[in-house]
Amino acid sequence: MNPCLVGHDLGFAYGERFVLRQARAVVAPGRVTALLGPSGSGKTTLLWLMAGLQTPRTGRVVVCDAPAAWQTGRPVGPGDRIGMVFQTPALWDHLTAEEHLEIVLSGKGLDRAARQRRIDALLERMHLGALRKRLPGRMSGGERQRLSIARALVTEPGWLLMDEPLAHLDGPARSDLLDVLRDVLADTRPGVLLATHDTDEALRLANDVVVLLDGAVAQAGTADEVMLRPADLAVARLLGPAAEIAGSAGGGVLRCDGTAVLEGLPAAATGPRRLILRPADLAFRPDASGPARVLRCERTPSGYQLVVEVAGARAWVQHGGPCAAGTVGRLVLVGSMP
Amino acid sequence: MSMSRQGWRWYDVAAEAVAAGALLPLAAAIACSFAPPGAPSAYADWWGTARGWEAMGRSMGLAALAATLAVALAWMLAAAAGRASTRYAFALAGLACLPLLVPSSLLATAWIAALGREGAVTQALRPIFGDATFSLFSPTGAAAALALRYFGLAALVLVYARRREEAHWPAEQVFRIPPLTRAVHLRLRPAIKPTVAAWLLVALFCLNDHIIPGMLLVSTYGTQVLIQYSALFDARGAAALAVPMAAVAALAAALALRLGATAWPSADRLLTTRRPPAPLLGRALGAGLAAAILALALAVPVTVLAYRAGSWSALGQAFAGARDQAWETLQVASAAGILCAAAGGLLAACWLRARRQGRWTAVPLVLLNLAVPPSLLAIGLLQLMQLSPWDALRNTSAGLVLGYGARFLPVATVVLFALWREEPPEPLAAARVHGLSGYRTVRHVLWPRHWPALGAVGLLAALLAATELEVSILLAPAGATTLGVRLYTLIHTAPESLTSSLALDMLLGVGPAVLVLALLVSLGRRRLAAEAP
Repeated sequence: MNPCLVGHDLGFAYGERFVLRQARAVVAPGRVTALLGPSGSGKTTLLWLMAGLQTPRTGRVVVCDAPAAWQTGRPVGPGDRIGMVFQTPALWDHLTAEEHLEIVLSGKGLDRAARQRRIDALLERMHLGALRKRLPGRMSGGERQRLSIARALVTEPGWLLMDEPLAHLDGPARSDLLDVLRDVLADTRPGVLLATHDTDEALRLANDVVVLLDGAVAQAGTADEVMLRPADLAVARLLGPAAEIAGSAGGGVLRCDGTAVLEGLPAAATGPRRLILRPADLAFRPDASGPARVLRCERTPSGYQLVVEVAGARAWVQHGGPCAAGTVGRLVLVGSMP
Repeated sequence: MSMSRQGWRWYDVAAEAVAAGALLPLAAAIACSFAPPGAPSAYADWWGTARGWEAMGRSMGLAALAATLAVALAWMLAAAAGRASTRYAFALAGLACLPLLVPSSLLATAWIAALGREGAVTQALRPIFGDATFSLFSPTGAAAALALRYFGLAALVLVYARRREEAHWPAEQVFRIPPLTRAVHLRLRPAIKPTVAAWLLVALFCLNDHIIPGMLLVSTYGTQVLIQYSALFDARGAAALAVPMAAVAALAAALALRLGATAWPSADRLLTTRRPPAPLLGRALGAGLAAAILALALAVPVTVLAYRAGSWSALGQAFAGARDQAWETLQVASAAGILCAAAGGLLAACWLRARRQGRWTAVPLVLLNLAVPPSLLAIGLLQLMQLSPWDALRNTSAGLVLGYGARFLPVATVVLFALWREEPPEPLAAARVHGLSGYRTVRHVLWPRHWPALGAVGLLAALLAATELEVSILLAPAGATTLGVRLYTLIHTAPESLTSSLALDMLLGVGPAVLVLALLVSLGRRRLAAEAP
């Protein structure tokens, strides 16, 4: 029996316009699966289908190979509860922080004292202890989002669905909440499906990644697999700057129209190759007879990045220091060959 | 409408002057209510004895009963129509507001034709109930007639509040909130403030409407004010009776605004995904019940009027007899609409500027003119018209237009303010930054975006002016009354077929105007929505 939460071949359309086609998402207990895709790729729709908030045109949502309890409407046990963090906090404006959690916990089989203990602990954990009597309208954006997450976690759900939980927060608030979220998820260990367009957020939290492009799954696998071996350039570009260089490999060099555009390939690599390369995979060596030319040098948080033109293609190269535009040189593969 | 802190401009000064001018009649009426030194106090006459308190108690009791009935009806309409769909609920609530756009006298005429002593329904029931047959000529009947005129306002407020609550359906569903908890904490609790706000709003309008109770022979303070001024020629006494009522009304309006503002804090953007539809039977029942409530408020009076009118030719004859009043109504209402749209646009824009610059402005005070009894404004204007150079306006249509302007300027101002407040300031800021001249900014940036809204508030103000009675009775020039006033004066003297025909004529006139209004509102919403970020 498969213990995972699985969305099988999910399809959804607004009228005749399909926004999701045969999408498959798998969430394993205790693991975080990131649903990564640009705006409009169908992430929210897939999440809403998984939560049973919309009915799919095709496919079904199952847990342990049976239709999910929240989809069928039968009484739910503690193991098959879901929690959800919406794209906007979707809080009840007339209820205080404490009341939000109290109302979600009501009718879930806990006595008053147990409910209060759980609420107190979670509010403290989410740094909302001092705001327990406050209405959402009097909270900051970060506080509202923390309350939204606390509401989703208070029932100790087996499955947690999160739709861009950090999207509306600025740098420090985002970083703080990410830390809190990672700690809480490590302790409570629900199966998490996290929809996000932010690669950094996905890679910092997720064990597995499902890439959605134009309403279809473009690639699914562990975070390392997707990061290191993107299925195509579109997936690679979603994860960060990436270049595609095609040519014929041989003698440790990749040639394009007779020109050696990339050096440092393993000697065993031969024949036609199409390589997807990230900035960290490449190094730039200045050489007046080289085929590559620096278009510009950009500063990044971790150093410098060169935008280089080689054989009509554009590549991004991580670099140790500044480099003048127009410098000519060679590109060398420094990482393992993708 | 710039976000930046800026100093006063000439139009800010103009807006403050217009606001002060709009408040002048109220100030004049209050001043008039105080006795000159040495004279006995008019306040003591009314409020030192039981007379004033009785009038106040009777009026407030009637308004409270009417508001309670109206809110109950509005609740039923909002809940039943909401089961069908939110769009349907808004459409029905909008239709329920139609009685606000016809004169009180027209509605009273229709209800008397239906449920008066000789009414069509009363006569049908008399063989069954005999002397116990219900008659409209009682405080309860008057409250019911008032409720059926004003319940649309409450329905709009409640439908809006329900939409806000129901926007949270995904969270309710995901977290499986038990039905009782949901009903108490997520339905009832958030509905308390909007319900009280709606009740206060309706009570306020009922308190200021003495036409319907008056025609149903229930005396309120408004009737007393009219008698005091028109029959006893005692302006001071009339004002002294109306001023405390104005204070009560202003308090009720402030409380309603406060409750309305705190009922929907904007902490979160609404989820726009629609709730899955209820089962078909539930939707059909909801839609049917809501339609039945609306039919009671609209179809019954119209049907009875048509029955009493008798024939199409009667409508033509009634119109021929009231052609002068129709022409006068059209002229003064159009002028009032243009005045309100122009001045309201200026006031709303400058109110918004003051708010964004964090400075005080007198503009919001003009809302008082909508809260206080209309007769008080009219008395104030009449007092002003005794002074030079205002005396030239006395007994002219221009005076009447000024009265309508003072009364309905707050409607135009508050509607435009609410609309423009939601609008991003960037288009205007871009015009400034890129050096467009004032003319080009108005011609190419402001006018294309705002003409439907200005047209809609102008038409709304014109409709309200055309159907207004309290100010018209006191300010209409001799020999040139409006259609509403003619209906009011004919009701107890003319044959029922004539009054019914005239009422139907007015309805036929209002109908196309309401359609144009709906068209302008829709156009305005589409224009602003298309440019929203």
